[in-house]
Amino acid sequence: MSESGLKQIFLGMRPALTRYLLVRGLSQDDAEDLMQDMFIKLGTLPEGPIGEPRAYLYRMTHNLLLDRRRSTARRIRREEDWSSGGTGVMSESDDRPSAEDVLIARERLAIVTTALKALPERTRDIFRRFRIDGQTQKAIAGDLGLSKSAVEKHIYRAYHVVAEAKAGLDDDESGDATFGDGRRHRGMDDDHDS
Amino acid sequence: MTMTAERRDALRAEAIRRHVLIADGTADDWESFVAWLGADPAHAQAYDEIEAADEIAGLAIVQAVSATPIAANDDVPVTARRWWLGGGVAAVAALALAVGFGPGLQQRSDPWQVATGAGETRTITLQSGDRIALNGGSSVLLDRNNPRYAKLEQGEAAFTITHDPNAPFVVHVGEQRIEDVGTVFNVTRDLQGLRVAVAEGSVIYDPDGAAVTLGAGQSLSDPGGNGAILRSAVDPASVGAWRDGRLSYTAAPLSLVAVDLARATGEAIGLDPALADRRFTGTIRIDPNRDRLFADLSQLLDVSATRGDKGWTLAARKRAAQ
Repeated sequence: MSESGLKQIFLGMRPALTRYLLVRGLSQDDAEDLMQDMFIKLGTLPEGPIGEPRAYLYRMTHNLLLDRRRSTARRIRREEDWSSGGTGVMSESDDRPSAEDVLIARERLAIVTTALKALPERTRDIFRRFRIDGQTQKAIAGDLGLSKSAVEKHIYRAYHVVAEAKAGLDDDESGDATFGDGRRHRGMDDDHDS
Repeated sequence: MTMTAERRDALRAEAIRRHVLIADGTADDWESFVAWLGADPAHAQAYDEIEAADEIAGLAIVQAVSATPIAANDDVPVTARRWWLGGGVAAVAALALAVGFGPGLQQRSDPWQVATGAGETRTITLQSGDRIALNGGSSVLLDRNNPRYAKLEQGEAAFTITHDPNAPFVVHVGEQRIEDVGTVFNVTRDLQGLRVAVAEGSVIYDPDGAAVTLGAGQSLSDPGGNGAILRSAVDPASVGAWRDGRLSYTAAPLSLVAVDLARATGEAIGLDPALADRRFTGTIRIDPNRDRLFADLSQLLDVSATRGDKGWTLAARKRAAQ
């Protein structure tokens, strides 16, 4: 796939990709802005064959949306931290970081890690393969001799536990949330571990 | 209008199923996903929840899986292994990784990741002999199929690179690229944005855009977004000094010093925003005794340092005159 070929496909798909950004909650302006960034970025990609250019462009849009959300979330959190922190100091709403972010992130991470640790080893292994190694559902199934739906069940369970842990954190802003959810899912059927 | 637990669980299950599907989905899968999202605002909301879970799940699963192997080419395998057996602290992980949905923008790559836990450092020697030293709480993504590629995902790394004019070593940081011209240089990516400092040789920052050339003794900071790129001088001997347990600064804002300290010590550090812009020049030695370190810091930075439930807080000293 030559670079100009990919750009051509992008131009044809632009309305569909914009639609994706809109249903994800971006404003029309922000969506257009991101599409423009993406067009520029396409010009800087290294040459190389791309298997499924249309899926590739969706994925790239998705990744750019994630990048944008991350930086927005960081800014908002910083503003909230210091305005609700009881220090009486309002932070400026610039893009300057707060070491507080680091601290909060670490706490949250510890809670989610604990939740994942409560899962069966097999589930953790499958989730790591999916989330970290980037293995496909099919590849994991092949490696472990499982059905695709069994793999999906494990991945589902891991995401479910993380989402529950996160929901507990988000519900309780004061920070003393008691989180005790990870164990609840332990009893779920595990249809292939001996 | 509240949602029943059954409905919420069903939506979540569907959101997870879709999330798994699009990870290596076809364009048709994506189109079906978009249609599903648009069908009901609750769908988009359920997916947002899973996406947020996915974000935090990455580091969490690395920490939750303890039996991850150490990279075979680690410089200090004995030390590395001790980190594992030592337990307790966040383990150092070296493993293959695909960020988000695979490298996405990089085709045909074979990525692997090296990450350090808070307060830990390690050195990676590539087959070429190039070395990358990673500071605490940092992660770098490498490519087995492209030895001249590294992506600093977060934290700080010092690169010692042999220059090859035919194949420059390129460090990717967020959207930016840094290309070596024969070099020892240090790159930091954190909440402050991106910083590059050069000890030997030179690098080209953002070769396709601003194309800023930095020589030995020069540094650059790029806050990202619309912020201006700032260049400043730096003592070449201080570049990457964290590898020796030292942090050296010339007129650096305390906001930056605090983030560096948190990375180097693994301690959570809160900084009074009133201090964020205060400048510091000098060298901090990272004393392994934390109480002593923070007592020294309080003198050195002229701040109060107190330990609380959530780590250390650096605040302005109270003065009668104010």
